[in-house]
Amino acid sequence: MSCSINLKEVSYETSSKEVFKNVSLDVSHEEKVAIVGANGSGKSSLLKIVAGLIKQQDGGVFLFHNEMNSLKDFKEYRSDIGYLPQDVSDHFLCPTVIEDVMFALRAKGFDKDESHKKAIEVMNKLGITHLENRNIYDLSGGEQKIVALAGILITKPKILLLDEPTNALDEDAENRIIDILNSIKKSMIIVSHHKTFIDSLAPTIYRLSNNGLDKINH
Amino acid sequence: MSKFNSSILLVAAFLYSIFLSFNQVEIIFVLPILYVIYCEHDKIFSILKKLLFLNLFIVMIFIVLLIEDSFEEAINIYIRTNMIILFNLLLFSRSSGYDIVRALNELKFPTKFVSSVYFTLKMIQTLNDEFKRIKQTLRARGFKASSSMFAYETYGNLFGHIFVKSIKKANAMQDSFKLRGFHGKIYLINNSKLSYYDVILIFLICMLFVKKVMV
Repeated sequence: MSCSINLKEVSYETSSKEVFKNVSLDVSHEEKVAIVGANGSGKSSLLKIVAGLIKQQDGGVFLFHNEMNSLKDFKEYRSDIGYLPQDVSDHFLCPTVIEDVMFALRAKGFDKDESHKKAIEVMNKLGITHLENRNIYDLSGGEQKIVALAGILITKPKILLLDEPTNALDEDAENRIIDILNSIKKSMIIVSHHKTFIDSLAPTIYRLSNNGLDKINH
Repeated sequence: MSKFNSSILLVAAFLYSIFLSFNQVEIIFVLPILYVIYCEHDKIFSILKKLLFLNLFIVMIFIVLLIEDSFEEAINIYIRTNMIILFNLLLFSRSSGYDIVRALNELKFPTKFVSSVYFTLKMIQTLNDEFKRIKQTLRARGFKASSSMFAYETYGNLFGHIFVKSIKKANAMQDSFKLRGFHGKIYLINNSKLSYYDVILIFLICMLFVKKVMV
């Protein structure tokens, strides 16, 4: 099976500490991988490295077998990568739900009607069409996460990088997110603390520590 | 939700403020205020409360004018300032702020200006929420405002925290711009329609224009 993401001996450090070293990971086409680890172990940083937001100090990042030597190399793959940040309020770029979901397509040059049609299709799939004209900042945390996911899925990315997608959500919202993510057939890296959430979603789980990634049997 | 179209709100607020700034107070200027009070009557007490608070500053201007100029001029400016502020408060009493962005977009302001106003509002909202959270934390942890070194240190930490938070937020927004293909433009859907409320408001503003500028 072809690999979507390869990390080879990746090390990352900030100005004050070494976050992790020698992390290697292969994520195949449509494979779901979860990463757990203690606070400050660098889970979010690892996702940001794969998303091309920050640069590792050592090692190689490969997307679809192409090495990303600099952050500029990620530009070509921007629409193939969907990144859901931990705090989804950072993700939103427009005031209402429909405008935000349409945003990525409009920015790519699609016309208003076509973008609107595709946005409604995605929202319908995720069961949020009733939120169409709502102000994003009036939504609950769970609704915001699903709206952010809709804004990502509209560009049909091949890779999803999800940073704590169920953080601060109640059980119902968490179950909804699990159902949605289980129905999506894409390569995914999910970072979470939630054991039940990860167990019901990802067959492969890794623990990140400053010595690298270790596979956990579950 | 406001009864008025957001573009009409913005234009009416601007024109009314300009007309009244360059004219003496007359009964005709009260008509738009009375009309907006009629439309937003359920909000009138909270708006008057805000106006009363703002009067703390307006009274200062009044006193300065009273000392430097005549009583007539001071009272004239005092009343005009109050009328302009009251009219604007009434018009925007139900606005979330984002209506103004929508109005700027509908009025064909440059896209970069519209985006800048939107992200400025978003940042203000985020920092305001953060400020409220910190205030709650201080209360929950037994902090009492007083004039002591500890209190001033705490205020310093609080502003430092908000400063750091705003930098972090700005960085996160920049990441979002990169990931979502933002290139200086936000795409808004303009689907607001004119209602009878808007038509009457436009009529009253036009009446001011005819009476005070053309006649």
